[in-house]
This record gives sequence, structure tokens and C-alpha cells, in this order.
Amino acid sequence: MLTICLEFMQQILHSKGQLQAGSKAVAESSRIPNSNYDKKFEIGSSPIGVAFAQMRETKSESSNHGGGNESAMNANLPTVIDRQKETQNERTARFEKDALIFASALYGAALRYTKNPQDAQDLVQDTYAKAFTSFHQFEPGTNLKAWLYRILTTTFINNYRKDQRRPLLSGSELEDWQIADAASHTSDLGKSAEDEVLENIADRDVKEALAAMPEDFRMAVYLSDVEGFSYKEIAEIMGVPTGTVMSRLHRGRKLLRESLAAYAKERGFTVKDGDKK
Amino acid sequence: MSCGNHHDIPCIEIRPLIVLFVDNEISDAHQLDIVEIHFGECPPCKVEMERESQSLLLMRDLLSRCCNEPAPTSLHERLIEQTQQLHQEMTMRTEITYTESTYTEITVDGQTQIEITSKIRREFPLE
Repeated sequence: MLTICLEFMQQILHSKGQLQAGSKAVAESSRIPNSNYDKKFEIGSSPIGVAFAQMRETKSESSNHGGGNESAMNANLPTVIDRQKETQNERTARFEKDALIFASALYGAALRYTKNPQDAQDLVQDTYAKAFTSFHQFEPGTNLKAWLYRILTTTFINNYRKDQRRPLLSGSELEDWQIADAASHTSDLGKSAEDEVLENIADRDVKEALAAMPEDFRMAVYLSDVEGFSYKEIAEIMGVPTGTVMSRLHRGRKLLRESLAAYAKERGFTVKDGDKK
Repeated sequence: MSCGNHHDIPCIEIRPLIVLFVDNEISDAHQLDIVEIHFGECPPCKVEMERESQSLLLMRDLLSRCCNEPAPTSLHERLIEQTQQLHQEMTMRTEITYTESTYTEITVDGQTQIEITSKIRREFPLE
């Protein structure tokens, strides 16, 4: 099985005109024991990606069978070694396969950040240019989506933000904020009644309400409630402490809810007094 | 805010955790136990949690629905093109540039002819 795999790999490499260098890479990589890289990297959507992933797995197993204690000892080798062995062609292929699929998701976030389709497209393009040139620094097996969002967010803050000043709240106010505040809106009046009204609200109103929010709040709400990132991931993406994320997220949600309720009222969907607590 | 009943952990300490519970952000197993046990014995807090949860779900649906704008195909094309271009640039960087010189001296019947050539060569070795 190993031989077949190696032959197949050589064929692929040969088709890229890299037979010589390829054989060397195969010879070297077949000595690499079952590292995390091999395992986590096997998510492939294209047939070739899957074939590669399967090859890697098979290869790892074989080297485990033969390697005995030695491979068990080397099992904790850092993935860096794999990345160093990776050729630029392989890295580009990996980037195209793994990173480009997030283009639409990043575009959605970029639209919320820039509020403008043209800027959003440029922002996504800049993000991918940066991501590509520093892709060798990305550790395979870690969260690629969050890594891309971090580049997107940093690029936006550094290059696209129209108003470079920090919006509304000063940093210290946010840092001082305590978790206890998080629940402040849970005691708001008539939330369930408000919810009923919100179900009828138009997409355009939601977009406007989002766009009108302070940028940091908007980002936190978007990253959490649309993209489903955890507080910790958002903290890494936005480059702020988790406490700040909580503050921005919970205040942002509250603000958005209030603003949507105001839109709803304007549109004539009224909250019945009787529904209020 | 209290429901008036006695609990091991008072409601006032649980309320701030509700939003974290709903956001699935209580990673400490012990704390999670405390919160869940409290919900089991305190209907008002449980109702509050369910309301918060429902409200958040609704907000997420609403946002996902309205923010679901796919990137234009032209952007995808630009990204693929850009990646290829950057790839070219990055592989170009590994080129080897060297000067190839020849020195030829031919002596015929006491007369010497010298020929010097110099050529700049670029090579793009396989990675």
C-alpha cells in the first residue's frame, strides 16, 4: 500500500515537473512519524486533497508499524518540520484548498466592517494577499478561519477605518467593566414581547441598525452571533482581552435589540403594554 | 433579584452567569454544575435562561438571514488570480542569477587573440 501511495505521489509530482525534487521529499517525509500535522490535515474537499490526506495517513501508519519506540518518541515533533519541508507549490495548493473557501464568509464580515461593497472586496483581497505571504507562519491544525479573521480585522483597523479615533467608549471604561454587567439587559422590560416584534423586521432595517452601531460593538456581535466564534476567539481576532469582548458583545446586543425595537415601532409593529412584565 | 426561595447559591450570583451559560462560555465543569443545579431548583432563573436563550437564537437567525450576502464571483476570480500571481512572485525569488564568463586565448604563429565573453544567466531551480 505504501508503495502504491508513493508511486501515486510521484506521479502527481511528476505531472508538475518536479520528479527529482519530489522523490527526495517523499523519501524524507516517509521518515516523518505520525505527527499532528498528518492527522489534522486530512480534511480535503477535492479528490486530490482527499487522496493526499489518505496517503499521508497510510504513510503515517506504516511508519508507525515499522518505527516502534522510535516513532512513538518522535510523535511529539513540532509541525514546523513539516512546514519547512513543504515546497512553495504544495503550500500554495494548501492555501487554495483550505483558505480560499472562506472568501464569502470574510466578505460578509468585510461588508459589516466597511459598510461598502467595493471597500469590502478590496479588504478581502488585501486580507488574502497578506494571508498568502505569511501562510508559512500559520500552524496547520489550528483555527484557520480565526486566523484569517484576525488578518481581516487588523487590516481593516489599520488601513480602512475612516475614523481612526476609537469610537465612543474609552479603553479604560471597557477594561474596568465587570462580568456582572453582562446580565444587565436580562432584566429589561418586555423582552419576549420585543422578540415577537423583531421577527417581523425587514432585513434592510437590521442592516441599518447594525451599521449604525459603534464599530467595536458591531464587530463583536457579528463575530459572535453570525460567525459563531467563542469569546476567546473573538479576543484573539480583535486583539483585546476576553473581558472587553464580553463587554462589547453584551452591550452591542443590547444596543442592537433596542435599536431594532425602535425600527419596529417606527414601522408600526407596536409592543402591547399588556405583554410587558 | 431573588425568587424568594433559599438556594445554596443565591439567584443574584446566578443571573450574571445566564448569558455566559447561553453563550456556552462556562468551561469550568464545577461552575457549570452549579448553574445547572440551580436551574433545576429555581424556576424563575430557568425561565430567565430560556428567555435569554430564545432571544439570542432569534437575534442570531435575524442576523444570519440579513447578513447572508455571498461574495461576487468576480471577487473569487480576483482572489485566485492574485494567489497565482503572488505564487509566481514568491517562486521567482528563489531564482539564481550568475554571470557566466569565458576567456579564450588563441595563439597562432606568435599572434595572440583573446576573446572574453560575459553573460548574465538566470535559473529557476526546482524547489
